[in-house]
Amino acid sequence: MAEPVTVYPGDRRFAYLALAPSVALVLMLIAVPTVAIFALAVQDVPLGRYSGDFVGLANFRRLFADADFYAALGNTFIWIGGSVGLEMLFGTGLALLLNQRFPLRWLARTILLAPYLLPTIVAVLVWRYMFDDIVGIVNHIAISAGLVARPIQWLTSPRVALLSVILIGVWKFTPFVVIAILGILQSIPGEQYDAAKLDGAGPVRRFVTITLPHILPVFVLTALLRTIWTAHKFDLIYLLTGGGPINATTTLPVLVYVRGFHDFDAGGASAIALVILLLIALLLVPYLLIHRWSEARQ
Amino acid sequence: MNATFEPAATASGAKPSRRSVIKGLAGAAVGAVALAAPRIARAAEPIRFLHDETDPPTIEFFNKAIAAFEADNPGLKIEMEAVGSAGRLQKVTAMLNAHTMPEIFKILPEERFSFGRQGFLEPLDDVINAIGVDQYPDRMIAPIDGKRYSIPYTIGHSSVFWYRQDLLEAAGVELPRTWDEYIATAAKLTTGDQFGTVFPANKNRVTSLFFSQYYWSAGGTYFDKDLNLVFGGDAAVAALDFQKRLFASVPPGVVNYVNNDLVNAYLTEKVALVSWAGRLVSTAAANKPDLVTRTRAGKRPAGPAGVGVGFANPNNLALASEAVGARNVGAAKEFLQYILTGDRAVDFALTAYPHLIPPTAAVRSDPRLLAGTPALAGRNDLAEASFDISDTLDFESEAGAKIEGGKVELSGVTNPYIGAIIAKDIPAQIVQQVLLQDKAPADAVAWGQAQMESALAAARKG
Repeated sequence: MAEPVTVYPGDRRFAYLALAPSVALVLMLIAVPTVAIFALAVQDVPLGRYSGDFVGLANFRRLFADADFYAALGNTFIWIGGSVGLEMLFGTGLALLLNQRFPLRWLARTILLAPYLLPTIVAVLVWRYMFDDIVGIVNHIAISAGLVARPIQWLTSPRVALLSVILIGVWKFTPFVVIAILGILQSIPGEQYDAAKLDGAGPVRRFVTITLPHILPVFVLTALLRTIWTAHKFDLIYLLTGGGPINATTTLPVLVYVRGFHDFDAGGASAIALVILLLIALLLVPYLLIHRWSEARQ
Repeated sequence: MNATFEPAATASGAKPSRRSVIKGLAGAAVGAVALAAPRIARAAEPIRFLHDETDPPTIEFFNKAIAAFEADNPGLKIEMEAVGSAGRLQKVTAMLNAHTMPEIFKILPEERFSFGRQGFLEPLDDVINAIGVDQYPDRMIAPIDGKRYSIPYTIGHSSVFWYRQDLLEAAGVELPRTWDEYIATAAKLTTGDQFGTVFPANKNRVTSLFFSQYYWSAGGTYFDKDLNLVFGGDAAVAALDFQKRLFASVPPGVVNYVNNDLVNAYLTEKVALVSWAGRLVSTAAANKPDLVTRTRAGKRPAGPAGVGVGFANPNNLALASEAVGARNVGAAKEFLQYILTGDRAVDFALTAYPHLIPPTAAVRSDPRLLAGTPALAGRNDLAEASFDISDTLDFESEAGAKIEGGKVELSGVTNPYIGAIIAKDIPAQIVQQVLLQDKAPADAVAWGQAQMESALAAARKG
């Protein structure tokens, strides 16, 4: 048994002193901006000023009467649902595949993980170029193969743009899911599968009774993280489409940017930012409940 | 004696206490700051310079000019930053809010009223007077409440009608002279992945700019000479109808186009007729010289009012005020005058010839400029077309303008409010509603009128 540690008053003071820079940094980088957003959301702040007139909940009333907000909210749900759903589906499938033994498995793993390592701006430029209406390879192949007569408006049709953005997001971020699930898959003892095989369990039964319970906590945690990160994703969408055409790909984070830096409406932008905060908090609840349940099961 | 890094012993020989170590570290930190402070205080404040002229030769010019200025003015330092046009205003907005504005920065004509009145800018009358007020076109240095808060460094002429002579000849068509001919010619030149023409339909300023020149060509203006909002009517509907009919002959990606995409579309040789700035030719000359030989410039097709009205406005530099973070205003003025005059002004214009049109008469008539660049030798026709800004308007000067006797007549009124409408991309959104959402032009115009009235009310309220 370890010896109890005696803490002297001087030690405590030193500990606080040592922690002070980190606490100050955290306060400066997280607490101050968060408080500032709450403060800005109830003010009408003119361009070039740090603060403005107190307007109470007027920014929220304006927001909830704004059709653009509801369009962005709808797009945000589609963006989160589509992206996270497909990423988890493909990510888990690919992880199961990469967990099997086959020739050049190392190469397949490297290639599959590459999109996640690419900087977003590079990925965006590559996809914008590939989807270009004039010189894009995708349209060139489609036209050459006789599939379409005119270029498809991948990122410029209000009907197709959000789907295109989701697919590019899935391509970019699925490797994160692969890494997470593959890691836990590799920790499952092979003897369990051997024993199950001896007992006559088929692949499906082995997956349901051995694999699934093992990966479930990591699966839930990964889905949770991907949901949070996807909910406030800005760069990929803005760089691909700028939120257009019309408002077809404007999600809430993009709307925050438009209100803040295009309409010079810091109060309105802050109100939307708080809605995003609330939205993420609400999305976390079911995930956390499932996570607690799966932990308890284990 | 060799220095050691053993813990120093106290006079009593005991190890130092934690308190004494902290005191020592704090003392050392204070000492370091105290020693460094005079050095920091002596260092000159740099002059920060933000612009959106990102052509490599232009950047090279600025670097050389900055080096020469710094050599002539020891102790002064220029920090330059070039940003893309699309993100310029957002960067400026963030800097205004953070009170970290660069001393010198690019500003659009319609922005300077709002910025000037809010105290974000330093007057530049002394610099303009030193260069010569009569050197500039009147409408490009219009004062705000008696003061001039920006200085033109080029004239942006965004509507030279460039066309591919070889494609027109191959298709057996003439250069279109009217809107109907333009629609028919563009349609004839559109086959497969080849497009007759191009215009932007993004939610941005350049889309507003294109719509505005069509609207003016149909005889409309946003404001009358008394600065009443008069947007709408048959002219707006005619302009939208025209764009809708022309839309069948443009690349489908125009919905996402920004300025450079118009040039890129032409350089891919997939587009035959393009109304855009001289950058199209300067970029082609640098990257695809053979395309220049097949390029001509013609008169813009006339709209229902009898003229194809173009768009030309000054590209300005402004000086931020100390209220928003500028530090070295006096020296910044010196630098501003330095780069905008003398050989520098000619050298600058030649970095993207014939795109960078000098705003001063003296530079425009400089023999070196008139000789042009070797890449465009023998093609004075292209430069002349770019430099010809007759029958053009801009957002500031369009109030009350009329088309009379086949010419654009200005009312002479400068509009300080139109920036609020353009900054919100309202004209561009009207275009998008018609082209992408199949809204009837009259309905889109009605929506735009309401939006403009609302934006205007807020702008007038200040």
